Amino acid sequence: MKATLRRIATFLRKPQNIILILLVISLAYLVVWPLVNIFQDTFLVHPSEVSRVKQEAGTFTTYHWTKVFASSDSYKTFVQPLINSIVCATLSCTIAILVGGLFAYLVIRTDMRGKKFCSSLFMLLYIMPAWTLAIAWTNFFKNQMVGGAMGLFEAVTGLSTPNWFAYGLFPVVVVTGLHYSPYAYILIGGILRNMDSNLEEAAQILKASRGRIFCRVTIPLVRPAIMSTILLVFASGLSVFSTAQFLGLPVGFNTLATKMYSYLNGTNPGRGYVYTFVMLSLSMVVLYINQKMLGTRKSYTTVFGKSSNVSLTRLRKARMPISVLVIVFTVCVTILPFISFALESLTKAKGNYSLDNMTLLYWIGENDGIGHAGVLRNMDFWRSLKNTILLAVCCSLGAGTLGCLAGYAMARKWGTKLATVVNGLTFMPYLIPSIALSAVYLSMFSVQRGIIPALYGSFFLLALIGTIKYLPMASRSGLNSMFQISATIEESAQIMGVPWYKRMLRVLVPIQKTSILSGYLLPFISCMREMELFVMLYTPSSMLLTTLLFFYNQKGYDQFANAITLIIVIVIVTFNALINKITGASIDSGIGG
Amino acid sequence: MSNQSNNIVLKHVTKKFGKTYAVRDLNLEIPANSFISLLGPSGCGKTTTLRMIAGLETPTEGEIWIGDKLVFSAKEGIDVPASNRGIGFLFQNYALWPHMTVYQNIAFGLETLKWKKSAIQARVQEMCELLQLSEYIQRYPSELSGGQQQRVAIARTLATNPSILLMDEPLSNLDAKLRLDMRAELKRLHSTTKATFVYVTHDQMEAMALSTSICLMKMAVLQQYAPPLSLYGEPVNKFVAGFVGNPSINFVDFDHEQMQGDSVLSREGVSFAAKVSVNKANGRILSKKVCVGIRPEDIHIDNTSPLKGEVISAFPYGMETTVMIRFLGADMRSVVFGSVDFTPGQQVGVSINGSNICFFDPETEALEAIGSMELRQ
Repeated sequence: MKATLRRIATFLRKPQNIILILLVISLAYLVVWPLVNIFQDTFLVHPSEVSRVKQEAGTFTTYHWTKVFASSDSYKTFVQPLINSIVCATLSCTIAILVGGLFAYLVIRTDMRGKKFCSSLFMLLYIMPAWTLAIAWTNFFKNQMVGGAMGLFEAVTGLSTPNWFAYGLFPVVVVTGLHYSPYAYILIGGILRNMDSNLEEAAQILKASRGRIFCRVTIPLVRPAIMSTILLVFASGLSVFSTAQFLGLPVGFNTLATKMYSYLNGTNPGRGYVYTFVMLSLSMVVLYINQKMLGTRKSYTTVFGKSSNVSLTRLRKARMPISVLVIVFTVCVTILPFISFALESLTKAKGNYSLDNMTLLYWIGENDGIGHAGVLRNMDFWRSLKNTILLAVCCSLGAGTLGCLAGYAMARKWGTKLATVVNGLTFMPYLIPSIALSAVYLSMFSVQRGIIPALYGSFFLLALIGTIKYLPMASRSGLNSMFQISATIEESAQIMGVPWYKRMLRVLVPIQKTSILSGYLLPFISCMREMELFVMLYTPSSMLLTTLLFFYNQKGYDQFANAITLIIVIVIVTFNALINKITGASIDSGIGG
Repeated sequence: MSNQSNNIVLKHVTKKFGKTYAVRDLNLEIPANSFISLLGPSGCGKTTTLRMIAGLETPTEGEIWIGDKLVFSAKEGIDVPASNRGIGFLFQNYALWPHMTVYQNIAFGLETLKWKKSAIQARVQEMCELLQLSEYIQRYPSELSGGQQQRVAIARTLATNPSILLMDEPLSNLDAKLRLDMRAELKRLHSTTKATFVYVTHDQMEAMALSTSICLMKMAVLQQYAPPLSLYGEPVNKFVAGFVGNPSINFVDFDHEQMQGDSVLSREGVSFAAKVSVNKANGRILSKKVCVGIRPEDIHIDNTSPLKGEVISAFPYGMETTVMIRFLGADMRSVVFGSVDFTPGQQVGVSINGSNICFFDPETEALEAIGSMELRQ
């Protein structure tokens, strides 16, 4: 008995053990328990559903499940959105890999011109949130039939765009695919750049043709990169919300996520939770399949070697046309959206792009006629900006500190069961779609539970969910940085009797300051551009820039929406560039959503 | 495949990367069925030379012939692609395709040649038996040890029966024991396949043990191209003498003067008469000072000798002992055969005899003469 106590005391004397245990407890409550909770929620009658279910609030019911799976409108409200989500995920993946892969091949393996310009500009697509591209798409291609006013495309060419092109599945797929194509470019390009050129030369000497080498050697070697792109894009495609909301809503195009949102925001939250549960299950299936496919006997550790000067494929006659095409394409998807935001925010009457219809009313006007002052004179805007920055700071402090501590503790106890569990727990929020996670938190914190008061609408809840969502990013960078420091560096200080907090602050943190800093900055900038995570949890007092934009967009205040979009995008790009300059970290090198 | 036309000729081959020379004006004739080593310190251009022969690197200038076919000519703009040069290439890191099994790796080249399935199967079996890989045929490269991966790489290269086999430091990633085994294996393969082997290495022992001729390079320039024992016995300059041999050759500077037709070398008040073999190099020592290269096996511990030295350290290896002796004001390596040991500080008698003492011009470092030296009383 005494020996056991002593053993426990020894165990707790090590700070890494205490950290791990605290993390297990808090993450179990904040990540695992909500998942159980939401399952429970699908069987409960919620206050707003009393008249619908005809049972008392809080009692058990199978109403939600039968409504979703076995009612007369199941097909319309569940099967169709599910199909839409899956089709959207599949096609977005295909586009991302084709565009990103082709781009990587052209930039790394051919003598195309303007490589540097294209590849740095191309990253903008990923740095900007996906929904900005959706808004740009509407700016260009909206038509008068559905959009009310005509878009830039119609204004310039006089051609009205058909509905399928302007709204619904097609633009959602294109926008999502394009947004993730830089991610495919980074992963595939990384392998193409570092791949041992001997692997291809060996095939060349065995008389294999160029096409055969490409299909039998190059593509299979790039496969792991393609697989991880598929995992990310497919999972994100399944849960696509803001893009679908902006581009799909006008023509009644629904995905699982938009349907879930409308139920949760309406009078039937129980039904919405069933959707959340389905989305979570789908993400888990994707993860499982990915794990299965990667965990084969073919190890790719041998892929990288000294990459002696890879000879660039000469495009010969096609060089100029291809270079021009790629440059034009890159500019179209990155620079043009900015111009469209600016232009749109300056028009007095929507759809008229003549010079005499231009106004600064929506930027600096006193009143636009519907009771809103121009963005820069608008109290709502300044409050949201303040909230956004405050929230980003909180999330970055929370996620960054937790991630750093988690990384430290895991690195010290690597290989033990406890560390493996914490590693899994810190990574889980990455796999839960943002919109589903926010539904989970909505269900969990909307009422008082034990000592935890109802947090709905509070700033604290936003900070909490942000911290949890960005923990995977931060803990991964914390783990990497701690792995690079040998334990002996800390032990030498330990032997001299330096206390733990001093070892952290005086020895470990200074050595790895840039990589630890990036653990703080990546959550910061991700939080600034986040919409889906907060869109169900904000209230007027905790309004953020992105949710303000969402609000304006839903109301149809296009000029305001565009002005705010422009501000958000400029802020994000500037911060990202600054951070990149200072620390070398960048949103596109982290595992952002 | 015919072995008639598997000689290789390089004429004035130069390769520049930017402004730096990787290979400078290299002329080399590699006879059919020979085993040639390209030897030199890292960065001397040996791998570049090999890759130029293979067609993986394009020379800046010069001509390359394989058999009676001109495969590269800068002047005429000819550049036959690697796949049409009829060669096999063994990479330093093996370059096995990680996504293919041993069988698929070996069969790949045969499939490309559109062999029949049954013929491919038979050939792969044959190669696996030859290289003792039969049990691993369905494994992936990551499931094999370094030595096994090495053998798969050899099997893959030999499967298509190339008449020329180019190897880029194929043994450098293996442990010492395995390296010795694979050396024997390569020699056996050379005699059974009758192919021309060109072998890149920085290990002079390996080059000496394996090749029919060694091409020793330094900073992009060919130093000497000769059979291993002539390289050892008649190095053209100080660099070659210092690069081959282990323990390495001793260099000592002497003053030189002609006395009654004799070449007299003196240092620290001791003088020697140098006898040169007329048919080697210039056959004469001309310079005022001379750098003498003495192989460790030519320095003997001989207590009857009037020349005395002091043992600095001794390294007994069992079969022989390397002794560092200080005499004539220099530390020199000597090899004593048999199981003997010495104590540091011990006084011993030393004699220099042997007919392969090298005399270098200390300015140009070129070999002036070869001969012997005798202590003058």
